[in-house]
Amino acid sequence: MKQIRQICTWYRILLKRLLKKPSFLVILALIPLLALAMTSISDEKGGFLHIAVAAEDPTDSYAQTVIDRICAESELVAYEICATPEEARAAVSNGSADTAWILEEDLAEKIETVAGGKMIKLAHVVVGEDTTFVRTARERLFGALYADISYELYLRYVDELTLPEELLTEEALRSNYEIFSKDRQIVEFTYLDAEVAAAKNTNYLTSPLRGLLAVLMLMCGLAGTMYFLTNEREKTFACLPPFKRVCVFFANNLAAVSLAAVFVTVALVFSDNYTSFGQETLLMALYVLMATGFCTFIGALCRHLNGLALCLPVVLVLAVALSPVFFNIKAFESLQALLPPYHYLYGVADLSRVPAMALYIAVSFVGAGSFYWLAHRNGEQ
Amino acid sequence: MRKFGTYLRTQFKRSVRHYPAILAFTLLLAVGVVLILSSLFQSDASEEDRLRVKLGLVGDLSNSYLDLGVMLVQNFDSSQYYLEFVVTDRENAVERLKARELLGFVEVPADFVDAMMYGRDSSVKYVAISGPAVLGSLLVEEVAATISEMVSESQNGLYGYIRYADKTDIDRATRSAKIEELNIDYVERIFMRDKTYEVEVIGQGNNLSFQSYYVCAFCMLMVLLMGTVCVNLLTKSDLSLSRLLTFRRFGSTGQILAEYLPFLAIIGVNLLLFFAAAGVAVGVFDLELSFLQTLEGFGDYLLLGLAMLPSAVLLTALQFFLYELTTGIVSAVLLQILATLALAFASGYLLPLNSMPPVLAAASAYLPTGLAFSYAASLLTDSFAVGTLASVLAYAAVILAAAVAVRTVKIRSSRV
Repeated sequence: MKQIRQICTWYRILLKRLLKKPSFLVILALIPLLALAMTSISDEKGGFLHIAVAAEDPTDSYAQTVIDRICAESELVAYEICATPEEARAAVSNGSADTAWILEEDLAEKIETVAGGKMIKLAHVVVGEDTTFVRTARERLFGALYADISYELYLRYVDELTLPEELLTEEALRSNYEIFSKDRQIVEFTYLDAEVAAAKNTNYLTSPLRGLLAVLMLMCGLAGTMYFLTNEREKTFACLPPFKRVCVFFANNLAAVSLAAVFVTVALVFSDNYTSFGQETLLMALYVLMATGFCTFIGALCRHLNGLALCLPVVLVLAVALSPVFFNIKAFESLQALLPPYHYLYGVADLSRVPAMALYIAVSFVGAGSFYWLAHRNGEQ
Repeated sequence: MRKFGTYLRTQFKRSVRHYPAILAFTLLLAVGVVLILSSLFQSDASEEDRLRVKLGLVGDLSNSYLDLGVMLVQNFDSSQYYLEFVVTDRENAVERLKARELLGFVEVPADFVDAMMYGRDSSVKYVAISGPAVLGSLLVEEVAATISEMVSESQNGLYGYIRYADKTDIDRATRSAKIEELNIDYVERIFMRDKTYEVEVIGQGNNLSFQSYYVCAFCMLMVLLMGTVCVNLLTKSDLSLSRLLTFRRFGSTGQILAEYLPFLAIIGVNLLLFFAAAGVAVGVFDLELSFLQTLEGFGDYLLLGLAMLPSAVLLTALQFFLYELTTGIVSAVLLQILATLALAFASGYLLPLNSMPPVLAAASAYLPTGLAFSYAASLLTDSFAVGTLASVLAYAAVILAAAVAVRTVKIRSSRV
């Protein structure tokens, strides 16, 4: 009981110490700011792909109807309606659009020709670079034209039937045709993890948010490590034996990371990236311990503040690049497995990684403790 | 002037002492960045493989219509150039999805084909995974919505015809033949949809391709990271030497310049070494970098490195200013890294700038990192302008002037 009270006292003291460091407070303040900034910019109208749309004949009202159909709201694509084909082409040339779709003149007649069986050109597509995204987005172009092609084809076949006059009015033909709603979805979207499916926010701008917050938490832990190494240099804890000093080292980093964890959890809740209480609590607790073990291990390895200052950028760059924050790089798995954010981010969608995370914690704690004890067992600093 | 020369020489000597450690960690960073870039571009994959998205297909393909449909899509549809279907069982699809080998998988229920044939409601399930691959899944969602619309329209036409045909005295054989003909017509229109548009590739012109964009962005990121590794050289724990120099009539301007120039020299040398190594690697390993076709040999790479030095001047000036703001190694490291990450994101080094909201994209042009990137990009697209170079150097001068002001204020406020 006495020991537990001592541990809590140490934890509280180390926490208060951290809260008096301006640089640490800046990192903590950045956590909600980052979430707020990314959530705000995701609400702005943007688009990963930019498509300029125009009609060869600007007076063609049918072409304008098709353009309106194409330019329905999209999370991924930003459409720009251009007055002339030249304007659309210029948008691709100057880089403001990835591709331009220019609808041919006499579009309604050409739709009828296609329905009749002759596949002729209905649109001219201008691209700068024909990437997968640009090719995939092109399906929407045909999709916008297909409704009318389909209806024309239906009319051609119905025309061959001998039907009473009242069934051949425009209204009757249309009413007979539109049985299946356009909003009917043949493809139902789900996520592998039902809990994750409940997370509403899948905007491409905020999808790196969880990863960036995880890296910021790691940075808090590394900041804690730097403060501790400063104390080592100043011999603040020299009165303690190496075993107790390494416990203080762990407690110091745990205080830093756990404080950051509170801020990160709140940020995730308010940015609609929160899955469920149980899953998030479990993963966050594991990540706190992983980050603590990792930061203490790095500190024990570097031993000196100057050495850690050199390593820190390398460690953080690797954490951002090799963990699935912005990119999904499927290489250097052994290096990726050393990084806490890698396990945490994959663990969000796949809870079967929890045992691996627990093993990571055990290995990192033992490794860090061993390294530190070996370096300090003879009273060296 | 003599004081400046003496102090400059002292700072250069200090830099030389720190250089081996700086170079070692810069090499680590450079190797890491190059390996990451090469993985990102999957340079050993064929052009077609790089452009295609892999989706799993799970379901009972014993139904001949479904099997035929999958075969037709995989071999005759234009989607074969950007979509690859991997037919597998659910367990394997889940494993491969978790390992990020698949973007997602489509699960076709056993009664799907019959439901489609008889006008009943049914759907396939597209299973994705959360995470940074959301871009690909969002795109698949958009395409799936389009596919759903096309299928609904086709069924409208087919069943609309059937309902009307049933109101006439058409014989069964003719009715069946016409329905089949209409079905084939619909399928034909969909499969031959790529004939309804003509694609004209006009090239990138003065714009960067996807790959050259990221090569340029990572070069700038490398410069920023090289600056963070110089923390032991540039951090001051106290201002006693600066105060003494000021007392000896060697003011902040001279001090800042004498401290900045060795820092710039280190970064400049590292940048040139980086480009020289790239030039050697391209030659020795006979690499084909399609996005850097204008560079032909070692000399061209070195010249490009030299041409990029003004960007390095601006970025190093920014970092020097940030070092001036802090006291102590811990604050210096943290500020440098946070600033690097924030500015890199805001300037489009991590996500392309044209995918950001217009406000942010416009604002990045005024950031030092954004301007440095614009200048570097102009070198890769042969759209170099003297005006951009002048802006870069002027901005660097303004930032250094701000660093002088900070040093002056700190010296004055630290006097007892």
